[in-house]
Amino acid sequence: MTAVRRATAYLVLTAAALVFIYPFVLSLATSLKPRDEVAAHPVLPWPLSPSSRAWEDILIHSDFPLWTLNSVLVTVFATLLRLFLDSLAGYALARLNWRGRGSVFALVLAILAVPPIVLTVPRFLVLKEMSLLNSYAGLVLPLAVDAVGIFIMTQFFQGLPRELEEAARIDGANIFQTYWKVVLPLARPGLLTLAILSFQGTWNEFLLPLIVVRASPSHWTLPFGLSTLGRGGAGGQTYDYPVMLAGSMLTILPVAIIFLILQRFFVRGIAAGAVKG
Amino acid sequence: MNRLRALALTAVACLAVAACGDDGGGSAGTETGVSLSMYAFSSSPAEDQTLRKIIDDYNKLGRNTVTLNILPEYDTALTTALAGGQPPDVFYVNDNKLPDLAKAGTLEPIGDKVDNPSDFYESLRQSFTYNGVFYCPPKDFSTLQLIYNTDELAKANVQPPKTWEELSAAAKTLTKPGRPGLVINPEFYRWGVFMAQAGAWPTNTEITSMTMDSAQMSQALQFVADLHKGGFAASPASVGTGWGGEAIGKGKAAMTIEGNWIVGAMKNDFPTVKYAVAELPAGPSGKGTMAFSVCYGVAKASTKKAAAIDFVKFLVSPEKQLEFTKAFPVMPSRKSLAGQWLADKPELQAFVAGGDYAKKSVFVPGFKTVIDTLNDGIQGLAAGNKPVPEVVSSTQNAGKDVLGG
Amino acid sequence: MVDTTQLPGTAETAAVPGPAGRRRRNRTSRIHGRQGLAGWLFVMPALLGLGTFLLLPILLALWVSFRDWSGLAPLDTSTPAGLDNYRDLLVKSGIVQSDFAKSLRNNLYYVLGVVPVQTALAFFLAVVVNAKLLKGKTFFRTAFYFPSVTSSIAVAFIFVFLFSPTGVVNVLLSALLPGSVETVWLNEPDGVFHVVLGWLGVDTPPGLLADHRFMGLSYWDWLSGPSLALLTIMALATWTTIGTFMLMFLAGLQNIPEDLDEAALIDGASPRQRFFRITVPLMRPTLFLVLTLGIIGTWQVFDQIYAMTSGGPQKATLTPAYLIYRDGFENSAMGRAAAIAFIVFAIILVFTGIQRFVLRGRTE
Repeated sequence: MTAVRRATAYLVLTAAALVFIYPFVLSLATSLKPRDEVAAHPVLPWPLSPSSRAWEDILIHSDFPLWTLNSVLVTVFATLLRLFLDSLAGYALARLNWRGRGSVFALVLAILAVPPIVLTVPRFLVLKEMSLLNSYAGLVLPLAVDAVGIFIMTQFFQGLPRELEEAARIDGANIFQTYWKVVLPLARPGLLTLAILSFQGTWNEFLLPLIVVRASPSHWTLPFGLSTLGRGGAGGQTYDYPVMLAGSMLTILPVAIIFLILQRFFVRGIAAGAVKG
Repeated sequence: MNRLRALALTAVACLAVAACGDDGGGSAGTETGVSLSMYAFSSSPAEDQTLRKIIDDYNKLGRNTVTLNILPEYDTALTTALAGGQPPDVFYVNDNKLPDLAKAGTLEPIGDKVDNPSDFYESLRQSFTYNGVFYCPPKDFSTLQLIYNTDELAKANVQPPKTWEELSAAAKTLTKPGRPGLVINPEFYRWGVFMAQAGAWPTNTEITSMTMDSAQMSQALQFVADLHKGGFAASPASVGTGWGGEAIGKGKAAMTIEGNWIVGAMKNDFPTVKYAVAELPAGPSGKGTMAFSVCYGVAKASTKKAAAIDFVKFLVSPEKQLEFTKAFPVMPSRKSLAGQWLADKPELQAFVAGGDYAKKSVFVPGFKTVIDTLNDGIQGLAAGNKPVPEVVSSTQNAGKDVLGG
Repeated sequence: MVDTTQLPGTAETAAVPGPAGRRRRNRTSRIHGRQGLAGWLFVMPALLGLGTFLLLPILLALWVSFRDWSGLAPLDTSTPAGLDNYRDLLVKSGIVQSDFAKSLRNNLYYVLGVVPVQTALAFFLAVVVNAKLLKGKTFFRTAFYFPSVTSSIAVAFIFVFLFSPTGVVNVLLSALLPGSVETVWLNEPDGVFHVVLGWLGVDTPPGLLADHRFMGLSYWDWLSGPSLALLTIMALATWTTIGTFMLMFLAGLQNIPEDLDEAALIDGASPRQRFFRITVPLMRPTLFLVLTLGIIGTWQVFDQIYAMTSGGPQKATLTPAYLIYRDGFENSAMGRAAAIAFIVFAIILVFTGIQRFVLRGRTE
């Protein structure tokens, strides 16, 4: 690739990247603008007369610390559970041979095909019968397994070379040992993806807290708590955009950090190295 | 389902024996020491704070304790609680939700159980009455009136219009390129004021049959549609704004039709724009506007109804109503308080006047589909891609499906 | 020469695991049994979770779809409705049917527009940020992933301004096209096909298309194409989901052994040959994943409609998922909402089936 072509390619890529980041920058700027400036100059990516009012409203005058703590608790537990249970199930569906495998996989897909909004009230009824309302268990257990995660892991396990597993089995390892010691390390990209998406999904979960803990503010998670701020007016016309966008940034931040940390482990050639050696 | 029935039976048994839960005492009428739950939606941070304070005042009285939950996504949250058999004892009820809730048997009729119920504005009382039963006392209300930019009207030497002809003329004079004279949201809950002023309405008073096909209705719809066609009126979206208040604030309109809530929005988002409120122009049938209100509902399934009623009486008492609405543009639902409320905000006189001739905009359960169709038609009229007869017939037919007549 | 038949993924052309294991005649039945046991043990916890918290509510919702229930009082107040909800939606002419038909039409254009674009772009970006020679991988990966992380409030806020009459999009278009462009994108209800035909002078529908109706909409209305408002939302949705699918493609690309590429290089294969003969076939499981999730996600689009348009203007952005919310929580027609959900469920299964059939056919 000539130097000019390379430079152009990088230019285009960087321009595209900036386009992708712009909303984030604009959110940050808007959160620091006073309300009348938001109305007057909505698209300017910096505040003309910065004000910390929105951030104060959230960080100091609301239950932000409590909400964050709850969110961390729920998300960490739910993500770890998903990582463990989804990959187990995905491996079974991808590699093990057992009766009913096809039906279970079809069931997983079928569950995904039902629009989630319709399950709001039925889930409430089920959780109520199980006495899981207004509790942390009620926030974590329903999130512990998800159909998308199982689907993702099934596909990734299918893409792995079989040679290593077969070598391990010939060497006498039982199925679980093969899975734990040989397959999982190979599945790092898939597990990373699952970790990032699980963290993001459970962190941003809004409907479940609405169903389970709406009447118990001490259990409120961050997205749910933040949605109680910044809205108002008959018909919701008067949005407090700085507060809403400051809130949305606080919600984005942990997910962005987790992504930044984990994406570094996307290193190519792990599978190759294993096969060679 | 057996389990649900069992739960319900247990609840009834408990009530009879009065031996469960935190109910102290047990004789109907004077329950004390009870803890109540209340659901509300957020109006604005300041109003939420005032609500919390008023509830603190009640709790300090020592009779009962109320836990307030101000929730986002109120419709979803409330429906889930009701559907799941775990209703809050007291909750906000939007007027357009009343028929559905009443028909489903969710509400305990308490409208007449508060003090001096005849003090409520008649149209509000009507809004919260279903099948002749006055279900819940209104907490406050807003009406629609004409909002205009005082500088713009002064510059163009235009007086606030008092009749339809004056409105047409004013809108025409005030229209500049890229700035229509009047901006009005294309929906029934705004255009309806013109229907009221023409003596038309989508249904008859008893809400048993559709009356979209009256000559007055076509007259009203055609009047507004013509203003749009001439470019003197427009929808907020077509000038790149979200609603009428934003249009006035950003100088994209000289006049708009909105309700009390515009006061807070203008103060927060457009503090430099000078505006005033005038009564809407009268149409062929006189003055007309619409009122929007919320009431305090008590759940029929509540096991602490007496305490809940005591709490609601406190909330709609004249002192507390005034306290709640003092700092905010919503108006007390008691006629007797109008003067005191206006004392420090005489510029909002028009909103209060509307309370006397506002039409209730509440229909029957399941009517929302018809309103959606009407809104669809109104959007078409505003955009100029639907003729009035088509809007009339599609709404009439949709309504017939629901009303069965 | 690289023997591609030994490669992972080629033996299994579809995601549903077939009886490949049984074909290995050397396997003893003891190992068979052990796999059977292990399989069930591995999958049991997940099944329990899915069964309790997802399958049970789904079955309950299915039951509700055969009831007349307002959703404002407990279930035991509901009355049996048989097939009435389904009949009102699909067969009985009236506002319920025509609203549902509009939502189906809108969502169909949405699916056909978004899925190919988001899949192709996500794959392209994944290949780009995976390239060995790319400097600043972290920066680019994070940048392209950012929209997927950003909350829908922030995205809606920004897109409303980007597409406003004086917003960036119109400014750019005015610069590129003759005259000035002042479209209010989110307020345009007419389908693009109708708009283009209008430019060509075809303003009224030919009798054939106008006179015949299906589910309450004339054929002419069915063939309207997505409205500009819907197109705006499609652009927004594509932009937000590219990052997530890019991540999945990235993980799939990382599964491809490097030495395979090197061997092909040594053998003299061009980059294009290497891409189409090695990379693409090995990405099949990931492609199936992305396409399936894409189809499912687009047929269930709700958040953006709820945040930005509430189904307007003039029902041009109405989708079945939004109808579920409207009927279930605003119109107190919970039974009908459930029926809509299961009709969408059936549609998704059909589309996924078609997609799998097409993919499987490709490889033989």
